Amino acid sequence: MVSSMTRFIGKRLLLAVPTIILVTLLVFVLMELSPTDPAAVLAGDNPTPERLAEIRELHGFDRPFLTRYLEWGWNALQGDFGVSPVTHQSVLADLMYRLPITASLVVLALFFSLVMGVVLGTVAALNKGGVVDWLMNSIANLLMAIPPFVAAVLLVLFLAILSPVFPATGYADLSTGIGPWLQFTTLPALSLAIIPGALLTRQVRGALVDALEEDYVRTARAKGLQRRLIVGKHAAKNAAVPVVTVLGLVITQMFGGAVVVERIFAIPGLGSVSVESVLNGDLITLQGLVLLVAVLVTVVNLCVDASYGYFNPRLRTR
Amino acid sequence: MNMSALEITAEPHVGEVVMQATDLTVEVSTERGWVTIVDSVDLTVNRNEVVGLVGESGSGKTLTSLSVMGLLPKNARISRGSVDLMGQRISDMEERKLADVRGAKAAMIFQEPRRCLNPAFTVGDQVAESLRRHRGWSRKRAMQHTIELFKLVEIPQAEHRVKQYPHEFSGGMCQRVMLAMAIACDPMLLIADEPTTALDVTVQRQVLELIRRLQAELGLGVLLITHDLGVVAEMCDRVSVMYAGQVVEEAPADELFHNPQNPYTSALLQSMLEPSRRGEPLGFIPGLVPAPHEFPATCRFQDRCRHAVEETCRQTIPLTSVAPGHLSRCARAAELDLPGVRA
Repeated sequence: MVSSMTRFIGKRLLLAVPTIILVTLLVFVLMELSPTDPAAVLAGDNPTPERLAEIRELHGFDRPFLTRYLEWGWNALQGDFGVSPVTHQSVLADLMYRLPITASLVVLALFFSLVMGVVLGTVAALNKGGVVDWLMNSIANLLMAIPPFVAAVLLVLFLAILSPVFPATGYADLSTGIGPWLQFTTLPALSLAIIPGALLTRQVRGALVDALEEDYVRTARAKGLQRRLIVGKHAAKNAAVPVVTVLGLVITQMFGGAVVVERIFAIPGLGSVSVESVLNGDLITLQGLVLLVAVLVTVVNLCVDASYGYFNPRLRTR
Repeated sequence: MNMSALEITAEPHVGEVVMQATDLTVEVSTERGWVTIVDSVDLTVNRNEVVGLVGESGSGKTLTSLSVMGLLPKNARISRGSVDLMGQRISDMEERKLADVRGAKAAMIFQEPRRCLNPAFTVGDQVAESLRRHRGWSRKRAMQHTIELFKLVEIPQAEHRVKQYPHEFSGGMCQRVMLAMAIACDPMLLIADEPTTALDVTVQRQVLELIRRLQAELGLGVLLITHDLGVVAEMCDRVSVMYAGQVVEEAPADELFHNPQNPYTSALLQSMLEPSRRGEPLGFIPGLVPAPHEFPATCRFQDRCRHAVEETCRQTIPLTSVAPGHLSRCARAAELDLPGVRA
């Protein structure tokens, strides 16, 4: 079983390599086509054409496209993402400093959305067809229509300005303690969690309703099992597969949502980096960021796929 | 002398009756409102006895068995009558208490055993679960006993098989797992709802023999629900025949087969495959079971009955005794000489 799992993960990692290559290549092409001239960014204000040519030659911007891509890829493979022409910092070091910030934000948002989805979805499923079910569904539909930037503004208005429970902006690192960190991350995480929470509510409800109609649930009842075990063990493990699928999508979407939310709350995470590097024409940082995100998405998808084997033993032997 | 005789007659079956359904009436919610599907069924299962409950699909036999376990779906309810299990009234018990009884005093196995096992957990875990629930045993102790149970239901390599998942078992083996689960906590009643219908013929026989053996060894009362009269002939001591929600005949198995007292039973027997009738046309019953909302107040079989007579059959027919231990719901039972199975 262990060896089949290892083989499975190894196979998936190999399959991920071409995906990552394609994504980075695509971004390289897009940047090539963009009107931003990397040499101009480096040269500062009002450079002479000679100065520009000099910079191009110095940084190799005049070499063929493919050569530059391969060189970048080879360096990245060795952990060298280059140096940002804007901040003059190592791109990798910068990203590694910011990744935990965004990751912790996403994890908290994920926690909020999971709690919401599991609680509302389970309550709805157990009251299938009733008023409570209708109410949960209505709540989910309503929340589905609140994008993160609207949620963020509303949350700040009500919970930071009208009743100042949380600070409106800023960030405290986890190393300063859970308390301060939660103070600054709760509102952004909530803004990110609303739509995923609504999506998960629907998914949990549907999956649980289906599972509860299976014959093995009748067997569990015939065995005299308590309701919490029937729902929480027998139905839940089978209902988990479709929920985890959505969860994978939700996580990657949250990294996208973080771009806007970090901006609103002034959190120095990956989202802020992406906006800043685009605005500054910092293509090297942007390229590193894209690679990092591509790897993250691959890892999340891998975890999702690996979890199927846990929830559905039938998939293990294949 | 007199006294002891009185005592015996006063309490004829104390300790013997495992399950007793009295006037059991089950309704199902439809777009027409609550419709009676099971109508005043009396059913008794004694210790050490296999009782067959026979009928076509739609005769109400499965709902009857589910209500005995308190397992009726949400859209069904017991509207009249009662079910007693080991002298305990369970038909009006609240769900929480009912769950203490299910799996402990009464257990049930179903059609399509593989679908009845949870694909996400090992079979051993699912059997051990019952012991942990009702006996409060530790995971380890329950699993050790589960291995013994697997040996009892003749699953080879029990120690190894308990760790496997349902998809690694054949249908027959799944039914053995279900049986291990059913007998785990030494119940007195086993309800088997079409236990072999979904299995291969060769496997059918093995599973039936296993049920028979477990019944004898553990002194179980078994309620066997089936539409297969061949299975009934092989397994049952007594038989109740259901038609359109009512019991139409009840008799010891031998007598039912050789001397049926209800035209419906007789017609069912004539539609059985028998070596002695080789070459003769197979009997069949024309028409269909009426839909539950169209059940007439009169004899429900008369439209399909070869022996139906206008005046006699167009009235409410009670289930009446035609011989000791033999009941029939037919107005003409006494005058008809119905064919059974040839000796």
